[in-house]
Amino acid sequence: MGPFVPDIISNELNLIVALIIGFFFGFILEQAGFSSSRKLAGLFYGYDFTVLRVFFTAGVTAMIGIILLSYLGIVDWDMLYINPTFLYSAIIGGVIMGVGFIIGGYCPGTSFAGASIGKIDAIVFIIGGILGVFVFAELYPYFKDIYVGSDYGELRIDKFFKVNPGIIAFGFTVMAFVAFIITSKIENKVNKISTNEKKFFELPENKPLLVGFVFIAVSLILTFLPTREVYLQNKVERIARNNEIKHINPLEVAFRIVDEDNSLMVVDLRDRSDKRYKTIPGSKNIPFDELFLKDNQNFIKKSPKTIVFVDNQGTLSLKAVAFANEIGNHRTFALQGGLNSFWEQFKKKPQEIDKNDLHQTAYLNFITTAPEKLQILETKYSRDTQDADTKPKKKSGGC
Amino acid sequence: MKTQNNYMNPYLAGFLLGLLLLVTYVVTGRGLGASGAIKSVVVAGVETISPTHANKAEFYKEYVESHNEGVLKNWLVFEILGVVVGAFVSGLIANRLTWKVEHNPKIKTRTRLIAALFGGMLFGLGAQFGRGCTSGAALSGMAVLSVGGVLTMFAIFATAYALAYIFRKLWI
Repeated sequence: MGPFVPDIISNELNLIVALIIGFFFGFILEQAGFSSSRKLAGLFYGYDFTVLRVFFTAGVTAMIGIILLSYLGIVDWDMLYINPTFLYSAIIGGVIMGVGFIIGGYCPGTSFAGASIGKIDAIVFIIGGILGVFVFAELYPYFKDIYVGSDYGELRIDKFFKVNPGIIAFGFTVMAFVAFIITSKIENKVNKISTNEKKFFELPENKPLLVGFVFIAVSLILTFLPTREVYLQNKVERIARNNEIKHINPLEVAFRIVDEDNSLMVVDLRDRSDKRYKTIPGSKNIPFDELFLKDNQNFIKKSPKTIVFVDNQGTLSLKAVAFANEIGNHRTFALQGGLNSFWEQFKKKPQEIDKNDLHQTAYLNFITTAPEKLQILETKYSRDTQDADTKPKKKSGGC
Repeated sequence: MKTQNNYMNPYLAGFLLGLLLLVTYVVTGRGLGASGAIKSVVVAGVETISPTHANKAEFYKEYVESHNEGVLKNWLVFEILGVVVGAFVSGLIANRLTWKVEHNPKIKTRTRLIAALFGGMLFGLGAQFGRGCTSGAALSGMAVLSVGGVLTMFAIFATAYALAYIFRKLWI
């Protein structure tokens, strides 16, 4: 599952990847005409809207792609670098760059493209850029409060509005489409070209319109896709109803816990507030609702131990096992009868046993002494802090 | 020399750029960028010219500390090297390689160069506050639905439009 850096592609190789990606980036920018400041500036005077077309088509394409790939489980959105939001810094920076854009006619990426084909003004723009960064660096102590202030972290638009990301993508797609139509008309008017002469989208016949509608359709479909969490949840409900789930017997669990068998990991699915029944010593608490969160998914997927899911009745644990199977961990069990049966087994001692039957005496012996041993373990584990989760490192990035 | 009409269809260029951005995210976990490379060059330059200053001033110190493999051994620096080669090849194919100062014939070459220098300075400064430029903050930010990236994008374009009339003599 993407991203491939640093797990599949090493950091060294990544620099080669950077060169290759950069090559295509530069090639496309130059091909689109972004090596010309007068073409770029046309956006602000209505004589050439190339920037808007390229920029929005690229943005919408990548956005729809990320939503789709993330839904299909090919890329993990949470592991991508999401530009953090420092509210005032973001707006102030944008305003300053806007002034720079209208005066300089380039932005950094396009200035490199321009400089590469011999535009001297682009080279001067880059020198200006270097000076600008230098000014910021030298005055950084004065800017720092704004720069690191009003930090909203990795805020995503869809999470901010609490909607499906597909809805945002759909919004952007429609916005881009409308902007393309309006700006073509403006462009024709400014350049005094009659609409009949210049084709609407510069592509033959109605194909461009078709492409536009395909984009809108795809993003519209995305708005109806459930998020991956919801999708998994639904699927798990189905599996739990239909399939046979592997159970583990409460006696076996008790025995292995008392035996301090390290190959076993008990995951308690109850809410943290649920104190009606005590839990099994050494267990990890992951409330069922949080099971679908990325961190917990990874924990379950990568656990080297056999996982036993427990809850009071043994119902949620069925779903949890179905879920674990779905994400690829097949060494998970549901505690049969839940915690109820687990604690119950120590209460109902057999009335009469055959003293000569070793099995029966061992059993009686075990269930009589087990509660006390479990109590000792409980105190022992609560002293050690466990759950040393290691969180995978996120990509850093930015411009 | 052909110039005007052999550019790629903008929607096709945009679609390809979008796919490239998507591939970049899937492979590397990050987006495209440009101003970050300038930042690396500035830090490397200051480090070479005045190491004592680079050790003292907070900005350089923080940057050097977070780039322990060397300031120039940076993803964006390599990416920009690729951009230069890619754009050069494209210009070569399209027969657009020439040394020139491109400007509105109504203004002097000097005016254009001064404007480019100031524009570049402002862009370099602004890209620090925005934590990225049109590529790293606006385009990449939009692709991953970053609130900050999209705010920066709107701020860039809105400001440029708002000031277009004042600076019209530079362009039309």
